Amino acid sequence: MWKKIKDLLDQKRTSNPLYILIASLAFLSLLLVMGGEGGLTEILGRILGFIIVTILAYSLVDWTAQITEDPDRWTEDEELDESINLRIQDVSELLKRAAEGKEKSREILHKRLKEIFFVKLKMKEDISRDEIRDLTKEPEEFRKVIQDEMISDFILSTEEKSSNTSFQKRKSKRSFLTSSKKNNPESYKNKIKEIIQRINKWGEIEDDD
Amino acid sequence: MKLNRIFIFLTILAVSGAILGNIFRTWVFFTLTISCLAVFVITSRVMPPRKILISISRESYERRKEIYVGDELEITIWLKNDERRPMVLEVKDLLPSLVEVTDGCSHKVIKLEANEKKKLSYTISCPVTGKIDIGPIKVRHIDPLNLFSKEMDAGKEMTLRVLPRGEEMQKVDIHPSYTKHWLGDIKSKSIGVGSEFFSLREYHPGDGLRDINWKATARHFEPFTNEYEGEKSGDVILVVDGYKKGIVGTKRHNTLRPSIDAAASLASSILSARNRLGLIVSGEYMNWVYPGTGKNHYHKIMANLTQFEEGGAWDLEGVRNLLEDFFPRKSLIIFISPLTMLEFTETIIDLSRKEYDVMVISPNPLKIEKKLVNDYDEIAENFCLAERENIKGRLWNAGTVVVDWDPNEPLEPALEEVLRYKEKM
Repeated sequence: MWKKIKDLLDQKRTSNPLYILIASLAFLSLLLVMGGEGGLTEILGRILGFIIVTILAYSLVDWTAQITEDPDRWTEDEELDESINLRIQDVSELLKRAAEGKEKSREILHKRLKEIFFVKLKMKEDISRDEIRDLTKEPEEFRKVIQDEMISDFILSTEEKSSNTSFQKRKSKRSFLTSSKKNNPESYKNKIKEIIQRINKWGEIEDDD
Repeated sequence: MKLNRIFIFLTILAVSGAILGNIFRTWVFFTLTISCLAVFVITSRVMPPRKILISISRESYERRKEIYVGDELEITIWLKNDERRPMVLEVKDLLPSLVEVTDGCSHKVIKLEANEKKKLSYTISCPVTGKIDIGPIKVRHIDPLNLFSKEMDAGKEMTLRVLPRGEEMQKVDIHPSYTKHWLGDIKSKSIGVGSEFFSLREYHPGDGLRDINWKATARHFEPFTNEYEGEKSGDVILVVDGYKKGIVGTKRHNTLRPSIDAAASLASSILSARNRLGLIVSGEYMNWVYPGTGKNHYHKIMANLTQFEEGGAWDLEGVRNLLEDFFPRKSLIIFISPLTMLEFTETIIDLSRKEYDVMVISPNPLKIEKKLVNDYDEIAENFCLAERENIKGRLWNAGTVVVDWDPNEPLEPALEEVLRYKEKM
């Protein structure tokens, strides 16, 4: 008999603690019920009965949850209004970060602005990239060709920055757009706005000539 | 058959009744348990059948397989209950998200009596080109308490081709600068077969009687023949840029949609002028159609434009190799691209330096973006405009004709303006 029970407990399903708990509780409650009415045994019997019913209820609800499921909604969740590659928004973000004083963003923004101007310069003056680079090394000559103080200052300061050491880089960056460094994003934005306007106008003036 | 979640709530009610009844030792709570059990028993009488016997057919399937963008198509679904008892069914014809239901509803709950036949009809419209799969029709049997459900897929999937709606361009005459030997509508400035008078020459044996200039013959007392300006045609190749990285906008409104529409409009216009037309579409896959003419060729081009899927990595190098190796030289190449990728611009400049006549039609991505985003920074907009102007400037400098097109407006006026400007140059 004892051996049979031991075998039963050794089996995989009997290793489930819940099963052992229910079995032992059932055995105990049977003893208590047999113990008679009234007094401590009745209270204990009720508590045990409650625990057994709760465990059984929990098992039943758990099993029901496993076998039931929500009906399919039959909808396609494809996102149709998600925007991709928005150029103006990207530049807005970049400008915002640059105005907040983020070094890398400023570097990218200035590089792109410089690129816009260089392409314009290349087309208008019919000169090569190397010639432009040489021209930027001679500030006076560069100013003479460009004939715009603000654009020249911007280009020369960024050019200077790229050729200097890291310490000097920071210094030169301060030389241009100094007010923006003092946490004045509006002033920086206004300066960038003016530079863009001037670059656009620069081409137009050349056309009129 | 599936058991729905509502089953849990009923079970919880039943066991709560049992627990409370046990605690308070009263039958009042046990009545709750008994009621729940009664519901289970009653519902089991209306459980869904093992197999839903229903005949379903979709009517539009055989009639039309092609519609144009924005066109409406009515779809009718016939449902017949082959069971001997009434059934309540939830029916839905699965539609891709891009398809819009303009009238009726594709999702309904229908009660069918035994052997009853009912129809479910709705009208769809698709705002974008492409191949769309409609269906299968999903059917779900519903019991009164929605405790059980049984689903099935019915009806064939319906494949619909949404074709781009080409714009009729009557005022614009796009023709290649280099003409080939075959007849067409382009004045070749040389003697040949045509309708425009070019010059007079002495009669040669074999000249047709219709070509003899009788006035000149009478004046000179010897036969003279009219010579005509030869009307020839050339090769045009459309290259549509569909690389995902360069597409701006949403799935519904982006730079690719107007690109496809523009390609369809140009295809119709170019082919009607008796030119040969080729097509290269570079997106998820690179498809190409060798230059040809005729109605069948037009349908081939439309089919390729319809199957077009955006995607892929940037590979205009492949397009260039394809053009140089397989397509005829001295063709007019029309690139349709938003010009958002610098590499694309470089390749176009490179090609325009070779033996090609290059034109770029660029749906302006900034116009699309402004339509999608209301709150944008003016400085950022000016910055993007300056960049775009630079790209356009570079292309013009390289001898490429650039049409900057606002996709919210028709293509013809923009094209006409640029072509007029080119003629003046």
